[in-house]
Amino acid sequence: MSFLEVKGISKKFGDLKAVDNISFEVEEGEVFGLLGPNGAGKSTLISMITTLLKPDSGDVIINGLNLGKHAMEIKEILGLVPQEISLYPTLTARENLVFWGRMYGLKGTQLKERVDEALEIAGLQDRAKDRIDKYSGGMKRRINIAAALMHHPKILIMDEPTVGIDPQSRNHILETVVKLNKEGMTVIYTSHYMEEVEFLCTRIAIVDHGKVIAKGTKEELRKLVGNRDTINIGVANASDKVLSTIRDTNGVESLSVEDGKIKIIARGADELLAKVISILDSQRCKIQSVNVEQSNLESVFLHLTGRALRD
Amino acid sequence: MILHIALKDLKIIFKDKKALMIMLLMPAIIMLILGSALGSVFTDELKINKFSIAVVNNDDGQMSQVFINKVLRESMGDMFNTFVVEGATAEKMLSNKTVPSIIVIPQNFSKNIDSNKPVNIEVKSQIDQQFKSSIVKSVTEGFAQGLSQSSAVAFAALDIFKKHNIPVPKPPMEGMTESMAIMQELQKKLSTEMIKFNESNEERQKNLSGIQYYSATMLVMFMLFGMSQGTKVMVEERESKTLGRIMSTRVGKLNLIMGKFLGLLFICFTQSMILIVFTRVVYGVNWGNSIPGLLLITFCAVFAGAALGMMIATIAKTPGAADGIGQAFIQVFTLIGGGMIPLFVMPDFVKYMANFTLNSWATKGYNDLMMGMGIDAILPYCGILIVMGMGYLSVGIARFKVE
Ligand SMILES: Nc1ncnc2c1ncn2[C@@H]1O[C@H](COP(=O)(O)OP(=O)(O)O)[C@@H](O)[C@H]1O
Ligand SMILES: [Mg+2]
Repeated sequence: MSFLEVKGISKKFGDLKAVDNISFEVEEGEVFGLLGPNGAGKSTLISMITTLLKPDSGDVIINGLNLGKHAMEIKEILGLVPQEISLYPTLTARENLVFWGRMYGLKGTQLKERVDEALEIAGLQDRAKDRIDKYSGGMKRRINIAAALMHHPKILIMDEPTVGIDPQSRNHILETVVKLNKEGMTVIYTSHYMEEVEFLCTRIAIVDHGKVIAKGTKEELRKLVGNRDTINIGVANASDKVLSTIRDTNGVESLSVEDGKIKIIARGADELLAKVISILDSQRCKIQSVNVEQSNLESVFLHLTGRALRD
Repeated sequence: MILHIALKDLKIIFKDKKALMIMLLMPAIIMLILGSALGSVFTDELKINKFSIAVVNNDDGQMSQVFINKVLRESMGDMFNTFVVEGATAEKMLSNKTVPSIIVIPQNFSKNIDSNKPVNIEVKSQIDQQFKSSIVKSVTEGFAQGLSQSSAVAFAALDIFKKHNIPVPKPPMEGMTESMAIMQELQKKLSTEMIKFNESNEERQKNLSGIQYYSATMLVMFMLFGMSQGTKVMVEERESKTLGRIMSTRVGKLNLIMGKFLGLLFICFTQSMILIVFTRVVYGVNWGNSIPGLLLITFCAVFAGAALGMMIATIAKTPGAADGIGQAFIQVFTLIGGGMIPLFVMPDFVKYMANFTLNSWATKGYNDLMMGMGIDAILPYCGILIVMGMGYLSVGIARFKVE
């Protein structure tokens, strides 16, 4: 049996199916990725897995325990890193960690040790006495994660832990996840950043509009796209007419426009590239850049939904 | 865990020096203002180095004049000198550090009071003058809050008077706002009624003076302000997103509510004690001879008030709604619980309804103690207050949702 099993879980908000019959399994010791654009239903799913929200239907089993019946036992082995910074802004980092440690039932010297350990993981020992509201975004994120580690959970569930931070803090966080996982911690990592999920995760579920639209290892997901490449062409002035001509060209699987760049997923980029360039040329579109990429999770998402992962 | 949640809340409050100062000064200030409104003798024993403040008055009505002349110049006259100046001058005085704070009365202040709209007076302060500016801030907030409360109560009273054919007083002065007139008239009427009542053979209130009665009802009204603090601690937990994290730990909702309730209880109890000591020292109000009785009834009343606050906090979906429901409770409870107008001049159905307010029972308890009774006399009231509090808490716990 898997360490965590989500079985046909659903949640509606009014008429909106935020999570629609989602199932997946997470094995002990792996980093499992939940990848999907904003509003896909990732946070709602996580709220249900962490007992904050009651599912309308479906089951969650963690470590052999049913979530509905054994919420307390599950809470003890589960660490949640919420999407938003969930700390008391006027308390110091240390005071926050001490408080969260107590909420997990820690006390005495063990509590003190765990606080020091958490500060070390966050790399913020020398800033422990500063108030959280004096911290940078990245430092807050690091304490936000450290607070979830106080009770040494078996499974760490991270909801977009790197949103809106500097590259240095991001690297620190990604390295932390790798390190924790090496030490045996199971991790569910939620993000809309394809690169992070691709870097960290062994297996991935791609979520869109409340549904899992694909899941598997990176290799399995890439196979879904087949032998497809992504062509990015920067153009100054592509009209709708030009775009639809390209879309209709033989070999083009899908096409989207992002930041003034045309993104084409295609079979056999070499042959197609010449055609596309000649179309653009004939319409007097100014080509600024061209680049061809091997398929990645981004192209998988584009392939499956016809939309880019990031809006 | 309950204790640690309470301690955490207290720690957060104690770190916010300004909020703390306002919280501890507020009871005294409100009493000071209400006391002067009630026309009692003023003792000028408060010793603080006198300082100056500047007021910008953008209002052209009566209420701002009352605030400047009665509250700032008269009641607070020993604490500071008040200068009314133009906006630009005030800003200059503030940046020159001539004054620690300036007060800006908004346009249509009186009109808004008169039409029972919410009012607000802005205070701008130098950052390095925390103590002085806290005093100015609490005086101003106390006035604005007390005024909106009592004018809302006066409005409601007017309604009841009309329904039951009780004659409505006419404004005695040209240009005086209607609600102000009602409030003043009520107070006048009250002092005579109170004397009449005291002279009658009714045993209960035989030796109770007007100021005693009002000290008690104002204390209870103040506890309801404390209640609205309670809704705030819950709303803040929600807004700092820490509520979700708490619920992901082993702390259940029962522990969470009890922890926050405990913290609130401590704060409100402390504030009430300050108020009692303050009225005792400054006005010489006689709260009776039984200190244990006083502690007990205060504890029970605060218990019921804080529990009511927790209930409102869990029922209201938004901070705005929490505030609205809280205000409504304060007004209704204060009015029908005898907070502004003693119950004996009220119609019968109001007297009956009063039994459902914590104000009425707490006031009865204080009044009995003031008349020299001992702790046993108030035990039934304490019982009722505790039962009420438990009821509010249970509803709060049952209704509590994370989302
Ligand atoms: N409490 C709620 N009430 C109503 N709608 C909600 C609520 N929470 C989330 N939603 C909606 O559900 C959908 C999924 O949201 P969410 O789970 O936050 O997505 P994600 O985390 O993937 O960005 C969104 O359309 C969002 O607006
Ligand atoms: Mg989310």
